[in-house]
Amino acid sequence: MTRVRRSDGELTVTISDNEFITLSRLEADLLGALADRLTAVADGVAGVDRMFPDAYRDDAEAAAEFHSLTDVDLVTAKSEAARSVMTAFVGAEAQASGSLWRRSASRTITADADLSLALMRNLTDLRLMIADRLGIESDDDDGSGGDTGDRIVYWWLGETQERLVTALAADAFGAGDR
Amino acid sequence: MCESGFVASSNSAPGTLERTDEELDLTPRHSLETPWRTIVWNDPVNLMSYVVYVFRSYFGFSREKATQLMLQVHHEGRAIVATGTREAMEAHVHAMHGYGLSATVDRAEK
Repeated sequence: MTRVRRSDGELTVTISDNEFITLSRLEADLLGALADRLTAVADGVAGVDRMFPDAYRDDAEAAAEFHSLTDVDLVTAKSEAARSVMTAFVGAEAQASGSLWRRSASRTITADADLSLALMRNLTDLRLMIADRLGIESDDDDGSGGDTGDRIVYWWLGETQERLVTALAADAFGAGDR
Repeated sequence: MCESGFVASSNSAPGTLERTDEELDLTPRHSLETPWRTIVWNDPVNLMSYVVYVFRSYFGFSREKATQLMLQVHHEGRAIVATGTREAMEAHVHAMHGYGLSATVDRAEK
């Protein structure tokens, strides 16, 4: 399971090699979905999407205008976050641990403030993407779509996000202030 | 919002959140100068701790105020987090969307 540690204003995040492989797939899916959004925006057929909520609820025209003004910027920010997270983990050397017969590998990144924020936003986007697959529509709704793999990944991303937020909040607002 | 109740190590489980006695004044101001407001809506994905973190780091709210607003979003489905000019509210909404939260702009009722 992912480890998040904090020391001297820096966060270290350690993921196993299996988690790294899963994350790589998810980021590729996300980047694909974001590219599709750009195409849809350009073609004027962008529909409802959790990652791109309407800014106006009772004014379709204003909502469409807001999308046209901000969606490209949002796609860019979300894509950059995904890429910087991937770049960090790809650049982290895989470290072997365990005994000869029970060897496992992990990757540890050290995240400064920018990368921490990118990771937090990126985990949110990945969870929004998977919530769509699972069909999660309301609180206490586990969804009826997706497969077991999606469900495990959704739980893992949530757990990681929780640890990250706890560490970042302690860092930003003081360890005793939770 | 997602309570992420299975996180045993979390210090931010909903049960540990403290409610403060002071009532938060969320009444929108009705002056002509500030007829717009930013509303954050409940969604089933974002973690409660994350929403509090975003409110604190982006708006600079205290822990108490951020927590109150998060709970209002969670229980009532929405909360007004800012009022002001349309331009300023649209900037807030854009920022909230960047964090993955669902937020809208509307005109404060007269």
